[in-house]
Amino acid sequence: MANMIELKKIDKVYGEKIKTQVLFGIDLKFEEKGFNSIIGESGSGKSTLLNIIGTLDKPTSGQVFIDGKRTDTLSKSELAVLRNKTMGFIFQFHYLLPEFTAKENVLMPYRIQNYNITREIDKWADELLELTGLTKVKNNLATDMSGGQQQRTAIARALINKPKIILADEPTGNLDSDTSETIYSILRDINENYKTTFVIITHDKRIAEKTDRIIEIKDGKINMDVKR
Amino acid sequence: MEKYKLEFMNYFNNNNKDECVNFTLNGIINNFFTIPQLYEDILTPALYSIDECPENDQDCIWQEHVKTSIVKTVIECVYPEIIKQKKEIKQLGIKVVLACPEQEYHEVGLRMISDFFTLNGYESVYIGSNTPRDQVSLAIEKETPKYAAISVTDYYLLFETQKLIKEIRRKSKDSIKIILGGSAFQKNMNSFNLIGGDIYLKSYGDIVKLKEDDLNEISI
Repeated sequence: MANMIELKKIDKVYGEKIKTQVLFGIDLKFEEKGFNSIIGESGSGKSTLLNIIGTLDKPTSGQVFIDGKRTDTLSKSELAVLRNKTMGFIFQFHYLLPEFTAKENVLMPYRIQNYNITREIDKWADELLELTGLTKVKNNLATDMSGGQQQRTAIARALINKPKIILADEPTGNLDSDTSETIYSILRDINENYKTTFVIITHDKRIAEKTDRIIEIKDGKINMDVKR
Repeated sequence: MEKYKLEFMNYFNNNNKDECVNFTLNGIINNFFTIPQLYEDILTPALYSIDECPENDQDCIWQEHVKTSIVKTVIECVYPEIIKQKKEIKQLGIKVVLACPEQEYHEVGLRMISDFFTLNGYESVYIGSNTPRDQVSLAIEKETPKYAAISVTDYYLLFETQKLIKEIRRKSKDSIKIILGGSAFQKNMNSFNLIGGDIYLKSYGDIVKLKEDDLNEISI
């Protein structure tokens, strides 16, 4: 299986005068279609790692390859295009825009690049809302939905551009256990149906143990990397 | 062994606990098969046959529990035979504490291994499933075994196992050898050393070999 993400000797140091190194020589590869999780204590460096994978942050040294493309040689706008087309993000907080409906939020990443919503993309948004069980509330404002519904909207939004990669940082962190189970099922269905590569940061044992590979980050290094 | 396995599976697939027990005891008493053969060639494949549970199959969890319970009953019913055989085996004077890490509920494999140690002259102290780190340490402190055997099935628990081993080593000042086993290691043998294991066991034959090594050590 080809590598969808490859990290080579990633170091990350924060600060100028007082330097704090949070990642130390990380070498990591994620195969396409993989369903992976990253675990680790708070402050271990896992969110920094995910932000570097997602090109939201730059490593101090080392290289990141996304779908075969080396990212440190790309311009800001090229990076933005790569991110928008290749990657979908899900965070612990949904970051939905409150003045828009669920469906409008889902369509937002598409609208950023293509102002006009085609019939095809409109249908795809409806399909995603169906997949995430939101058809009945698709015209509700983001503020008029439950926490679980808001998070499912964020998942549908992450998928609108049919990304090859989904990066999720504690996607069930704010949710009760039953809703977490629903979110997990949706993510797994997406992985199986659309062959999307997943990297999920989680503290939730019930999510991590269901992924196919678990990587533990400890003190900025890979402590263990195990497969089901 | 194949015909015995097929006969057992016939009862097992029908959740017929009574016949599973009757068939097993009859087989052991009449020397159709040994206890290691029963565990490795009949019960282990039976357990693996229920292991493949499709994620959306609503029916499989209770079925798995019923079948696991059958295997546990069979193992306990065989124990009087182990007591009998133990009397004829030279005791090594070596203790083994056996436990699963916290949140690991799959203990049947470890239970079988406990009997394998007993059949080879070791003194097994079987703690079982879901054992907190401090409790394993306390047991080790009290029992002063040569070996701590830890079984891991859920691969997520390899991380907890690493912490457990660290704790055992710290408390015992590195005087104990850590034996590891269980299906979590099958795809993760690279993690064996990282976790801190000394010996990896996967079969009755491995315990026989360990006994030979221990006997050699004793004779030296």
